[in-house]
Amino acid sequence: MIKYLTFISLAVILCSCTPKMTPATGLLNPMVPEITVSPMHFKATISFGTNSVTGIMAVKQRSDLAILGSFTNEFGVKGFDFIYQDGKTDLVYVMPALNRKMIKKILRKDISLLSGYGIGSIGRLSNNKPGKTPVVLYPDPAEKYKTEKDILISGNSIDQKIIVALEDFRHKLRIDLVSLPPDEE
Amino acid sequence: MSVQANAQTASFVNLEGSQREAFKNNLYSSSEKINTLECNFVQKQILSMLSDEVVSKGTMTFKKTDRLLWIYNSPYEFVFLMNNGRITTKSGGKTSSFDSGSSPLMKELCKIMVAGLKGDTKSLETSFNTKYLTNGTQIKVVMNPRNKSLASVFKQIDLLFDAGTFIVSSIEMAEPSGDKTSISVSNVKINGTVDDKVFDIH
Repeated sequence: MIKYLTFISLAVILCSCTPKMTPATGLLNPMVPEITVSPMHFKATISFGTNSVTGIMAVKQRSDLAILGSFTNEFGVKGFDFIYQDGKTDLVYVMPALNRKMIKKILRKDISLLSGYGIGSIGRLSNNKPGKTPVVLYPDPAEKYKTEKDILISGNSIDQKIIVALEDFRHKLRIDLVSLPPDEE
Repeated sequence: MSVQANAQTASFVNLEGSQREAFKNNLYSSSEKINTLECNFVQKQILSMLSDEVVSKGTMTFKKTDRLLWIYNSPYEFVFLMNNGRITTKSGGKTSSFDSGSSPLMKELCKIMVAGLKGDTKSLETSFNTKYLTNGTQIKVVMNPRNKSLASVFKQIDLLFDAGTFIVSSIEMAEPSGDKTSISVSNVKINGTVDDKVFDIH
């Protein structure tokens, strides 16, 4: 009972502490040529504290600039579907195990930042010289008064792979995306 | 290739009564003779929201009674092992192991895969309502979850077997979200020698 109440308290604290997102206006709906023609696939690792889950994240951009994404585990079981538009993320589907108010709130916020600043910078990373130290994509130095605390998004390109990472230090959540080669025909 | 083409063109008819029981018993007695099974697989995930398909390839190895090794070689290396009630995964050099009881979904997925590979559909009847259909050359077992928990993950699972050999050719899982995952198996080798060391994953 005490354990249960502690969890509820923790959930309430985490939810109430989640700050309102104020994304940069210029990045609300980034144009990402790499994912407008066909979806791009990433190996995704989502770590929460000491636990982690791997799977495939597929992302694409619609003509209205919304970024759509799907996360499934290796066996094809869906984790979540999201649509990022106008700086906000809508979780279209969330698997029952993740369907908790607190988890969804954290996911919505982090996916918004990851989409706007990380996935939205794929083109910029593709042009980056390989092997360089990761580029800090968020917080953006130009918008330091608007940015979220405790969140860092970085990107890099190594051996023709695009790597994007989000670190949410407050919630001990980390999302790593490593691009995968296109499927064979 | 020709088997799959037949499956798409010939229509399936529902088996009932004694015909259904005969198919079930044949499948079951065939599954009982399987001590080891090795195969290649191609997995296609249809992501409905993105109108996208993700293709994965690898190998599967089963050894009686409940050891299942699932190795993905592409698009990246991922190893999944079910061995004596423990699940071990290895990805990117990291290995993690946990009791299968702590992940009911994975436990059920393993049960479905083992039953599907062997043809032991009887063992799934406590969790699924099953229908048996045939088009003459193949048997399709259509399974719908009986309980809410499973139904929240799987809308329907179809197992396709060769009607002559009772060897599985594909497993298709439809999710409530509209996504589908189909696993086509090939180069199936039954009762070959499988060293126990194969299942040592560290």
